[in-house]
Amino acid sequence: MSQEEPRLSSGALAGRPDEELIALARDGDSAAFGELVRRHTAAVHRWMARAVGEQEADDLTQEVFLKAYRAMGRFRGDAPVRAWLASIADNAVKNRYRALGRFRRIFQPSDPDAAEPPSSGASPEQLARSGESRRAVAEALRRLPPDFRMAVVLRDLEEWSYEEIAASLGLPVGTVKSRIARGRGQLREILLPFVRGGKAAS
Amino acid sequence: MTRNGLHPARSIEFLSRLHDGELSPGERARFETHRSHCDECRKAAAEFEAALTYFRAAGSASPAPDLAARILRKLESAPRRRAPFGATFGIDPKWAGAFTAALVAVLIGYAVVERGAERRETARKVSVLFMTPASAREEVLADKETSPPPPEPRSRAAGAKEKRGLALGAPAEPEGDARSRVASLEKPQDALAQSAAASPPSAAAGEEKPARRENTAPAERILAVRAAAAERTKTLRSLEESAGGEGSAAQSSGSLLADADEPVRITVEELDGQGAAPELKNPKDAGLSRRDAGRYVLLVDPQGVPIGVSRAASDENASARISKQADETLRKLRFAPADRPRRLLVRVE
Repeated sequence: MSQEEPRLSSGALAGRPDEELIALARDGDSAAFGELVRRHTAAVHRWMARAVGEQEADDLTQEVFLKAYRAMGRFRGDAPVRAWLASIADNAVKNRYRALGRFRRIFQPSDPDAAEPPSSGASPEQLARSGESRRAVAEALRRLPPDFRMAVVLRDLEEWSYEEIAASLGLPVGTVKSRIARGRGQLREILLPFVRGGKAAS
Repeated sequence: MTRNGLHPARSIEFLSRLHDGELSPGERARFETHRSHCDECRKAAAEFEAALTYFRAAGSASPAPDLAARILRKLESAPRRRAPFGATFGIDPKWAGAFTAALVAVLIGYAVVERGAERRETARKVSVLFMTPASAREEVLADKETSPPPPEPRSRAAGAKEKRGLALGAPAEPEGDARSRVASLEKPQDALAQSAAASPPSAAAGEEKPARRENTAPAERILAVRAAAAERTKTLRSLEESAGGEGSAAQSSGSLLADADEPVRITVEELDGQGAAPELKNPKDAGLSRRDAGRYVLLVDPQGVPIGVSRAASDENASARISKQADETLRKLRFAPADRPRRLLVRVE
């Protein structure tokens, strides 16, 4: 969970706020965009690892920055850079699943060893640090509708405010709240066996 | 004992609002009274919290150490196929439409006048009109670049290109210890050589004339590589100076390190609406220092042991990953036991 931010500063750019960097990048300063990439790669990867799974997270992280780079001229600078990146990430997640179609999403056979409650005794702390909970959480997120995923990830894993999530995803706050509530409900159903498994054993 | 004959904790919306601390004081008070009598609602609320705590505490894989570097390399190579990096954004996007319109006018006029003479060339340019808006715009810019009055002087465009090679390529190793960076910085990397090779002083864009690009000024290419290597050595020095510190401290590591050992103030607030935050038992033992300053969200199990640490959204570095050191020391904090998992805001100042 802990991870040094990959942030090799390129001199004076390192201390500049995102807003200045994006303005510089739009004026043609490629180093400024490079600094933005370095600064946000870990966060975008974290979202993607949750929203689409760890195997595809690298690719989709790359996709987000390539899209951001191309769309930079359209970014009006009226939102934080990370919110802008989140909106691009949300679209990337939805596009990723659009092709699969609803039928297949629902009936797609899940990873056979992914959703098994932990068999051996372990404290919640141990579980949280082991691959068990990670797999359980990945499986739980995989079963959420793609439209819900970034909202849940940004709220419950990244601790963003509802207002910022709503602004990022271009949705009314009420819609965001309701999606997150429903997403949480589904997560509870899927994760409870793991939670109980962990508790019963400890 | 129910409210309006219902068990409020059967509603996921209610539980979600409870979790977010969004119940009105009246609702909250009524629910607390109800919960003290109703096993079902007590259990439902506890399970909801436990599942969310579990969800949050699960870590995720770290990105590959060279992910940022790979993305930067990709960014370097992607626009090169279409237009020079600097030129792409050197022109205010609001003028892009005007450029396109001007180009359309020119092309139509050109096609009418020179239809017979330059059929092949016209066909190529007109095809631009049927591309996606983004690629068309870049193509427009590329065309601008090769036409007689360029939007910026050649030398500046070439300079911008060299700068790109350095700026995007130079600090390309995001992680690893200083030694591995030494190794990677001392030898010019393929990507660097490529970017230098692909940045001849001539600002010709597009892929049509690779042969000409290959033949342009090899001596300047070598110089560009050398300059890049020198830049890397500089970066390396600042890295060595700041080894063990955060990257952002690289420029003034001395003064920041001096501050790092000063004592810090730790304040704890509850985030979960479950009542006052539990007491922090060992504010001194954890060894938090100025370097760990920030706002963190801790998930704490009922024994008072942190099981998850993340930056708070309100932290000024909210989008950055928490440092390993801060993560480890925050996990050493111990709180007074509670009857349920807690979510706490810890400020280190």
